Amino acid sequence: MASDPATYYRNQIAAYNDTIRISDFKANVAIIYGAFTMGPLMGFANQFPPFLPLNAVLMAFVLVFFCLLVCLFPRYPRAGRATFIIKPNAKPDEFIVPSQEIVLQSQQTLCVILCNILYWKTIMLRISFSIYILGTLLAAALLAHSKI
Amino acid sequence: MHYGNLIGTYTESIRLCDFKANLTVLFVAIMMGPVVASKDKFPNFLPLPLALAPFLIAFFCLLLCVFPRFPRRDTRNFIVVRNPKRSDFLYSEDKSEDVDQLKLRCAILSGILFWKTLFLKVSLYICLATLAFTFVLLGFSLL
Repeated sequence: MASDPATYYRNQIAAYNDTIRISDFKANVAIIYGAFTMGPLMGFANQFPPFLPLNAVLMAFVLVFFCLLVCLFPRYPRAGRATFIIKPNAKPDEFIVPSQEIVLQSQQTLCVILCNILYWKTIMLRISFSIYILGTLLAAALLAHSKI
Repeated sequence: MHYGNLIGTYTESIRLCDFKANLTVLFVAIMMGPVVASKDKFPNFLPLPLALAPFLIAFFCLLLCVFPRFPRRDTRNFIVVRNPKRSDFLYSEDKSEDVDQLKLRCAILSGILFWKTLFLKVSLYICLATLAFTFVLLGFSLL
């Protein structure tokens, strides 16, 4: 258990940040994986079964890429910008040391923001990974069927 | 302590932005091959140069995003010159000056993060719009 509220929130924020970073890394790897697998699949387009046109396969890829890019989209909600200013011409005087009360409030707000960001990242990552897994199973089934 | 944490957060966000931009460049470069290869299957209203335009705009924005920048405002604290001298690196014991430098660095990093995020967002919006358009075209071709 944390000794004081600030440490508790700091630990929470660190845990969220870590999980978000891992999600981003997974999405990055998945997007490169998808881009690399698309080429060979297009090369085998003439060997696809009649019920599976190439465009249907490509639609799955496009959907996955869309979800992964939404997952990677950088977001800095306005609620969290009171202490984390993002401006093209910020002045040094705009950065002031906040009081302990404001620090706690902003830490709580950050927890809420990070929780929301992690939720959407996980949803998008789950959708894309589910499509990848189903696609892999379908490919395995088709390959097995073609051998018989 | 506060400014140190803030600088750490800015630096980390900038690094994440750079990482995402690098991978998006790679993704867009890989995707360009299959798009060019299937140019014969494009609909009549979509010539190849038009199809390649979003790629080029995305590349432009992403390369601007990863472009290394060391603003002149921070020259006292972080020197990037051709022939640095030992006298360029002097320790100052004045605490108030130190805080001013930290504030200045926060302001500079805030500006850098703003432009990086803007360019990354523009390129990701272009990628998302292109993907949505491709999805619609593929859907129509199946009908």
